[in-house]
Amino acid sequence: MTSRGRFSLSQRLLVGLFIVTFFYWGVIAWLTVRDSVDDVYELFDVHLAQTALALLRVSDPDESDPVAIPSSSEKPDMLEIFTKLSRLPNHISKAGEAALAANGSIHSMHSDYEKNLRYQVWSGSGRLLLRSANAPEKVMTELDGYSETTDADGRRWRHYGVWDQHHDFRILVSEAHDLRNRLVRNITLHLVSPLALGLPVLIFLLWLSIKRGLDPLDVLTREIRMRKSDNLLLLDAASAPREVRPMVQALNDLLHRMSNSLEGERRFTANAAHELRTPLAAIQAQLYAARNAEGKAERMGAMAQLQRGVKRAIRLVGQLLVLARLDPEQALPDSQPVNLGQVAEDACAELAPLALQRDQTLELVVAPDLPLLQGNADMLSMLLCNLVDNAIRYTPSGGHIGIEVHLDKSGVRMSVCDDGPGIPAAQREQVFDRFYRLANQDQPGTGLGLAICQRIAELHNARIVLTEGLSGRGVTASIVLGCRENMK
Amino acid sequence: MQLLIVEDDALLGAGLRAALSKLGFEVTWVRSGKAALDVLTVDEFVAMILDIGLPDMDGLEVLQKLRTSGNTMPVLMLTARDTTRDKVVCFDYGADDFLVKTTDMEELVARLRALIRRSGKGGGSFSVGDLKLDPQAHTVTKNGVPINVSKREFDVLRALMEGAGRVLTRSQLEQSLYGWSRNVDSNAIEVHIHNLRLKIGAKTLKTVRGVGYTISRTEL
Repeated sequence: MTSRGRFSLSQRLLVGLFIVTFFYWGVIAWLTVRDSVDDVYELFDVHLAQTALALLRVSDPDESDPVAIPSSSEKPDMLEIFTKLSRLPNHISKAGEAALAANGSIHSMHSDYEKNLRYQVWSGSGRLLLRSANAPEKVMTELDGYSETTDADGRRWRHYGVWDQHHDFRILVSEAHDLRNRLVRNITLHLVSPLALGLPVLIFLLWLSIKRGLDPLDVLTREIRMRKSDNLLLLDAASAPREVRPMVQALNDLLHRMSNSLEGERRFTANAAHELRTPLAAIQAQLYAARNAEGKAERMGAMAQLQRGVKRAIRLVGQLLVLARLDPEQALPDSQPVNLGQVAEDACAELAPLALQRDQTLELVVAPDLPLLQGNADMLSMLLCNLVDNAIRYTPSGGHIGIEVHLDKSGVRMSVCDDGPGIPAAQREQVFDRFYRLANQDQPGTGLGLAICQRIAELHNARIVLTEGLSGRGVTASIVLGCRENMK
Repeated sequence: MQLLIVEDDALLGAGLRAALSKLGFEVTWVRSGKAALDVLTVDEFVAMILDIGLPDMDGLEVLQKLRTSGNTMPVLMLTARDTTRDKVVCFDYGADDFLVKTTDMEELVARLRALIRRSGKGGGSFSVGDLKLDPQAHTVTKNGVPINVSKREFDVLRALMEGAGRVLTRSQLEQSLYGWSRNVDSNAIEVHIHNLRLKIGAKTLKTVRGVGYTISRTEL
């Protein structure tokens, strides 16, 4: 993964394209050089044979080549001819040396070639009739046709041997191998050097076209980089290239969610500020009233109000802390096997005195032999306490509150019902929004309790559902907690 | 009764001192862990209210030093942290009770009194409404008239009166009677409650169905 991230897209493209191109050119060059080598060898061999045949024709005018030298009836004295001929190379070489000395340059191609080509003419009886200046006196090869040997200096020579028609003369022509190798090298160099020189140009051109190809990405990057942190407007997905469109759409999706959550945070902060300041302002006002009260009764009244304000602030701070702790991105912490019956019993025991104060009947029914559930006992207890507390506070005195925990098809069902005023069906979803409160409430509340409950339920992969309450009145809040692990 | 308060916050410390002094406690208020340990070597207190977050050392450290020195006085921890884990840690260090900082004064006083009573240092009888219970003499009176109760019934009534205003579940009552380990006949508590209701009046001892039993403080 790290090596993937280390290189830019254009670097990766460039390297890839370069490797492919280089490989392709390499193969082509190799094939071309191979063919050229074959051609060069063939050419040199032909040349070797032609030289030998030319010599043969000179030595034997009877040879069936009527064009080259017209046939004559008189057979010349070959020995004389060869003796004359043998002087010729000396002349030529002397002239060449003089020319070299005159201009002082390096070996001319001519002398170079001369050095690398040699010949011998043997008589049928095995006497050396003629040889070039650089040819040895010993026979160069016994073989006819093409053959190769290595001489004492380690040079490789390629020979061509041929007899005249009457088997009177044997012509041997031989050529140094390095000559053709040098030519092959030259050809290869000429083929490869433009490629080598062209490489930087090729890379530059490749890089240029990749850069142009990736331009839309740069435009996109610039657009995102120049944004202010609060600009969560969506990017233009339609004008993006097809390949990056899914990414732009994913980004847009993220931006959309962020903007929603940011909007939620803004609303929450605004609400929290209002809700936090209100009880504190009330406390301050009641404090002022208490200080300036005339008579004990008035002071006690103000004090009671003061305490209510403080309790409200305490409750709100507590719930804000809980809500902050139930971070939406966090998973359920401290998940353990929980006995819901026990949780319900403890929650009811805690809140029953409040119900007794209000002359309400509170009843808990726990089915026997409930399976244990995976969950966070503290949170589930808070969930149930909030629901029961709501039921007690919004049900008039003398009312009934029933809490049930029993086994359902899909898990353990926990429900809290009352016969209070109830919640209109249209608002049964909204009441779970943070800070949402039903109109005309005289009960103090923060509007956070149910939001906390629902959040806890979500952390347990469940949902709280509100339905009608006892005997067609009030409200029933129920939640089904799945027992994925039956740990009973 | 001498009471030690260890709390660094000036407003809360002064408030606690004022409130508890009114209730007849002789309050010593210190604002650091070191000062608390110093005072504890000199004076003897019936109980201590200890804040967890102190400027010089952790309240739990003070508690640990107190317990290792062999002092068994009742300690009520006061803290802003409120998860079960925090509570368990407090009890592990040897705290007797645990209150979150925003708990109201009435509950704090009730818990403090219960702690002192259990430690035996407060001594004497206690009463809820017209009921009076004397742990030493093992007697119960209603409006001054003695009521004859069995030992088990006395224990149940004592637990309920100590927790007056709270609802005690059946398992809590079983624990206070028999401890954790014993497996009690499931009807035992109900029989005791039934008998007690006959003796002290059904209105005084209330049943919360499916939950438990309570003696309310307010209505007596």
